[in-house]
Amino acid sequence: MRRYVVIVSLLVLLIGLTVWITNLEWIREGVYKPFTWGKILSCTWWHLIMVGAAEFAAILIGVPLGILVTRPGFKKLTTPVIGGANIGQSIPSLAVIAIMAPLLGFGLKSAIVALFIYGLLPVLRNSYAGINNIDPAIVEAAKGMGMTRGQIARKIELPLALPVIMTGIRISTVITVGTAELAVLVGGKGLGVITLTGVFTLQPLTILQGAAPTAALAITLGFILERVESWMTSRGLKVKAEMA
Amino acid sequence: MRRLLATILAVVLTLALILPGAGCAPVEKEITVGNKNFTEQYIIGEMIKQLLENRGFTVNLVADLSSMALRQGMEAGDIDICADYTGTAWMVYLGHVYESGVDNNELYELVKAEDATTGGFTWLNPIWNNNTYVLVSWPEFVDENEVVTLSDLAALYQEGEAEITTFVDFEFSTRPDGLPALEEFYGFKVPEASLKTGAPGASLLGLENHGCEVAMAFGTDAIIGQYGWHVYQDDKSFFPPYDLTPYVSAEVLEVYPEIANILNELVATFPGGGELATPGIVAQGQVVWQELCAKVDIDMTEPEEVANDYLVEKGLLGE
Repeated sequence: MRRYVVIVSLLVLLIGLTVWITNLEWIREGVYKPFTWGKILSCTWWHLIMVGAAEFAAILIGVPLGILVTRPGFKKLTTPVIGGANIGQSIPSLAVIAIMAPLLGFGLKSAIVALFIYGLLPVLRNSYAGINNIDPAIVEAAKGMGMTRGQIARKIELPLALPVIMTGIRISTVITVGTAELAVLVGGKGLGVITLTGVFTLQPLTILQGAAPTAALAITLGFILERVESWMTSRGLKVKAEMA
Repeated sequence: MRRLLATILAVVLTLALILPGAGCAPVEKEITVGNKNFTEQYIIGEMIKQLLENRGFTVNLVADLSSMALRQGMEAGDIDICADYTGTAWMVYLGHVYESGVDNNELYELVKAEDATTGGFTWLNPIWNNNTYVLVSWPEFVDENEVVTLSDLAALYQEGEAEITTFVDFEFSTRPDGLPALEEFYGFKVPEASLKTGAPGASLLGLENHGCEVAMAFGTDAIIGQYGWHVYQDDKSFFPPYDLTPYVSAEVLEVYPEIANILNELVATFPGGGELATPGIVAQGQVVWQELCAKVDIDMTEPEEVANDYLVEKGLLGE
């Protein structure tokens, strides 16, 4: 309950800040004009599109790949894939984004590909860890009960790994919302347009007009995914977590 | 004995610390120069730096600032000298509206007079190069749509039939002499969906790769000539003249009055330097700067080297 209060008051603060700045009359008279509602909403929309497209691709590739490298036949791939993901995660996000412009050209496509690559890593790693960290005794017991490999995967491993995988998706999404601020540097769109215009013209209120909605977006998406995570977690696991 | 030596050493060291350079070395003349984040500014920043260093100053160059960052640095006293544009100062820093017809000389005098009282800055002689904002397109687009001037382009936007992706930088998208004001003045509106904003120079990359139809550029950008891009003529004279002019905080100039002469010497090497501007002089100045920028943007020479070559060629660095 207390968590709801924190999240809601944060959202009220951030959105209120955006409303307040956008409606300020006195800066309309000034040299630099604040952004209009139309612009803020269209930037938010594009921000969501970019994050959505990148995250969709990251889940589509990251989850199966992460699970695949835990399978007995593919153990050899574990080190290159997971090691590669760990190294990739340590590259600064700005570098991942900036390098896309010379590679793929300047535009929305480069921005989305960069966000996808950076968002892929947490999904991949958590999918791998979720399966890999399951107590072998549980799998043994399932085998002892006569379950086939497919049954073990479907009924034992996946449900147990699901909370960890979902956490990876949530973390990846929240990070991508922030990283997407930089997408505008390689021809992308989104709220970074507003934030960086503020940075380049040294207008603190304009910077907030871009930064506050971005933060609100990250908090909202994080919260929604957390609810999904909790909804997808099997009830048995929750009982265990409460007792622990 | 050893203790005595140690005491003497301590005293000497302390004196050396509290009397820095007293009597033995001349006092260092330290000065901070600022420049902005595009080619012409890299070159002029280096020119000022190297010239002042040659005349015995220790120069610290703060590079790659946006217009507002540079101005705030000047106002805070963190930066002592920079070269800025008369039109930018008049409209952005001093917050005026430009009235069509005010020419290069008049605008310079207006800025010089007002910034001396409001900002406490001394504007030195201007380099007449009118590095104005321009909108440019590939010639194919211009031929196809028969647009020559900004009025023609405005009409094309208003028809709303052609897809005209328009690419500008962050500053231009919001400056009082930027896109919103230009739209209002010429009576058109770039649809939200076809407007792109990016870092300085990104619009040129965009046009180069055909990622947009109309791009913002600077009058002295060499790439315009390289590709034969069409520059839309500002037929109703919306943009003020933007003449590159070094200015110094009055306090710094009081301490080092010689700076004025040194920088005016540099200005004098450009067309019409130290004289009144005429349209011919401004056009010559633009060509000179397009050539300098071409050395950086097309020949890939470092701005440092371009500035040095220029100063040597003009004999400003002495023997």
